[in-house]
Amino acid sequence: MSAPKSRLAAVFVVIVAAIVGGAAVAPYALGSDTDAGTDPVSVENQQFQPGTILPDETPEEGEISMESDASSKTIVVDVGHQNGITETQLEPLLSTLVENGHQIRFYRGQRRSLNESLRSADALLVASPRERYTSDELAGVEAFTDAGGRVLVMGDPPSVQVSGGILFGLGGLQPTAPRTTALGSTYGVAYGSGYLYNMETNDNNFKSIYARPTADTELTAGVDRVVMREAVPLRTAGATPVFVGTDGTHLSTTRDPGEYAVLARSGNVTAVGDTDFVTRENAYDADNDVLVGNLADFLVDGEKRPGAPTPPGADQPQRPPTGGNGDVPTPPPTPVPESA
Amino acid sequence: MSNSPDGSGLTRVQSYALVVAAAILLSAVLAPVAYDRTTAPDGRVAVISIEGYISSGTVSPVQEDLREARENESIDAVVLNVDSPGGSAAASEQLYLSVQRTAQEMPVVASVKSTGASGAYYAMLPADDIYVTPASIVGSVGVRGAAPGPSLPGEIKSGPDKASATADQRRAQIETLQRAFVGTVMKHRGDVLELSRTEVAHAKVYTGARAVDNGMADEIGSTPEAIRQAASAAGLEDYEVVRKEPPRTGGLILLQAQNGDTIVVEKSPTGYDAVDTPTFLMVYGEVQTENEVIGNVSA
Repeated sequence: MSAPKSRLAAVFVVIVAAIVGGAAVAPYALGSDTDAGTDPVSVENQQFQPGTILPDETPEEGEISMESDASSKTIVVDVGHQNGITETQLEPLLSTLVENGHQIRFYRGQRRSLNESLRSADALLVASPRERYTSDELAGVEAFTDAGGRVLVMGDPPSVQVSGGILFGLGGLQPTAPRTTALGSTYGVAYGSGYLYNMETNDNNFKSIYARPTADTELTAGVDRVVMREAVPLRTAGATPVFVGTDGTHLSTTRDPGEYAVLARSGNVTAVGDTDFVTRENAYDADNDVLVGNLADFLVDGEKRPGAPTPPGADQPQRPPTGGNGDVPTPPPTPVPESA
Repeated sequence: MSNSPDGSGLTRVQSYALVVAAAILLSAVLAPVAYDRTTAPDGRVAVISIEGYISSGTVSPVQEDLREARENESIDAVVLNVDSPGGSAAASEQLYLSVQRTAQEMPVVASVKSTGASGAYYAMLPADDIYVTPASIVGSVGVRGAAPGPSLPGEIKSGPDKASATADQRRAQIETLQRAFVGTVMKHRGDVLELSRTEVAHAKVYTGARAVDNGMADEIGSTPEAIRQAASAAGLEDYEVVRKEPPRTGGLILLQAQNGDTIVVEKSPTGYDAVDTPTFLMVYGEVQTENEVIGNVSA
C-alpha cells in the first residue's frame, strides 16, 4: 500500500494551498474586523462647536473724563490702614484727578495723624482698610464730612491672606475682612458678608456681575451698566442705593436672589462694594470708565470748609469744640505731596 | 511510500492503527476547544477602572483599554469603575471622547465607588446608566484655572501675552470650557435631569441618593449591579467579567499606607514640574493656588 512519490507531493501541495488559501479568504467569509487600530467610530459633539461655547468678549474702549469745573482740590488717599489695595490699582482714578488739576496726597500713618491730613484736604478716599479706624479718626472723618468734605469708601469681600511663614508651618491662611464697618455705619452703610454673583447675566464669570443705576443722579450720569468683579452687598439705612446688581444677582452666603446695592450715597459719602472696578484692567469694561469719571467728579465737587476736622480729643466722642484739649492746631500746613 | 525490504507497504492493520492514532491525537487537541465552545459564556463584560487624578498620563492606559474593548469582538459591554475627583480639563475631555466612542459601539455603564466628580463625571457622561451608592458623590460640573506666578526677573518675552494672560482672557477661557462641560451634561442627561442648566453650573456635588433623585445619576447600586445591567443591556445571559486595571506608572509616587492601601500622589497635579503652566482643571476639592479663576460658585 505504497503511493508514488509524485502523488504524495501533489497531496502535500494541495493541503498547503487549501490551508493558506483558506486563511486568506476566511476574514472575508467570516466578516472579521480587519481594520483593527483605525478606530472607525466617529462622534459628533455639537456642544463643543465654537459658535456654541465661545463667550462674547466686549471690546474695552472709552475714556475716563471729568465734568467738574472745580480746580485744585486736594484728595487724601488712605494707605495707612493696611489697605488691601495698592496705589497702582487706584491709578485710573488718581490719574484722572491729577490730569484735571487736582492734588493727591497719600496718608501713610507715619508722620501725621489722619485728622491732621484731612484738615487741609477736600476729599478722602478709603479702599479696603484692614486696620480699624480709631475713634479719633472716625470722629475726624465725621467732622470732615460735616464740613463738606467728600469721602469715597471702597470695600471688597473678605480675602484669604497668608500670615507668617507658611513655608515652615508657622503661619497660616487667615481670612481678613475689610474694617469698613465702623466707617460705614457712621453714614448708614453696612458692608454685608459674602460676595455677589450672577449665573445668568455676567461678564464671563459668575462673580463679574453687572450693576445698573437706580435713579438719575450725578453718579449715574451716562452710565448704562457697570461691571463689578467681586462685589460685596451694601446694606443701607440712611444712604440711598445708587447702583444695584442686575436681575439674577445672588448673595453667596444665602444664595438668595435680590436687589443688592453695590454703590450707595449718603450726602457727602459714597460707598462702593468693590475695589476692582477701578483698576486699569477693568476701568474700561462696560461703562466703568464713566463711573470712574463720575466718582472723580464726586470727590472734587464738595465745598469743604478749611480747617475741619478741628483737633479732637480722644475722650470726647462728640464733635469737640474748637481748640480741643490743648492740642493746639498748627497753622494749616502746606500739604507736602508724598506722591502724586 | 514504503521502504520495506519485500517492497510491499504497511499492512492493513498497521494502516488502521496509524489512522486511529492520528485521529485520537487530533481529537485530543480539538476536544477541549469543543468543550469550551459548549460551556463558553455568551460574551464578556470588561470592567475598566478610572481611578485617581485624571491627567494625560493616567488617561492613556484607560483609553487603550476602551479601544481594546471596542476592537475585541469578545467584549460586549463595558463597566466603568470610577473613583476619581477629576483632574486636568484636557485629559477629562479626551477620556469623555473615548467613552463616547465606546458607548456608540456597546452598552457602557458607570459605577461610582466613592467619588465621580468634575472631570471624572465628565468622562462617564456617555454611559447609559450611572450607578452610585448612598455615600458616593457625583457632580461638581465646573472648571478652574490658576494663573502662573510672576515671571522671573530679567526674562524677555516675545509678546505681551506670552507666558501669561490677562484676567479677562482667563475668565473668557474658563467660561468657554465651562459652557462645553455644562453643554455636555445637558446633552447626555438633559432628559432625566431635574436641575436647570444654571443649577448644574453651580457645580455642586451630590451624594448618591440625591443624585439619583435629581437625575445626575440613575441607580443606587455597586459595581456588581452595574455589571449585571451592562450584560443585560448587551443581551448576555451568561457572561464573563474581564477586569482591566490600568498600570500606575509615570508621574505617580506610590506610598504604602499603614492599612496596606495604596495612596496615589501625583508629582505635579497641574502638569509639569519645571514649568508653572496655566492649567485648566476639572477637579473637585481644594487646590492651593494663587489667583485662581473659578467657573462657578462651588467648584
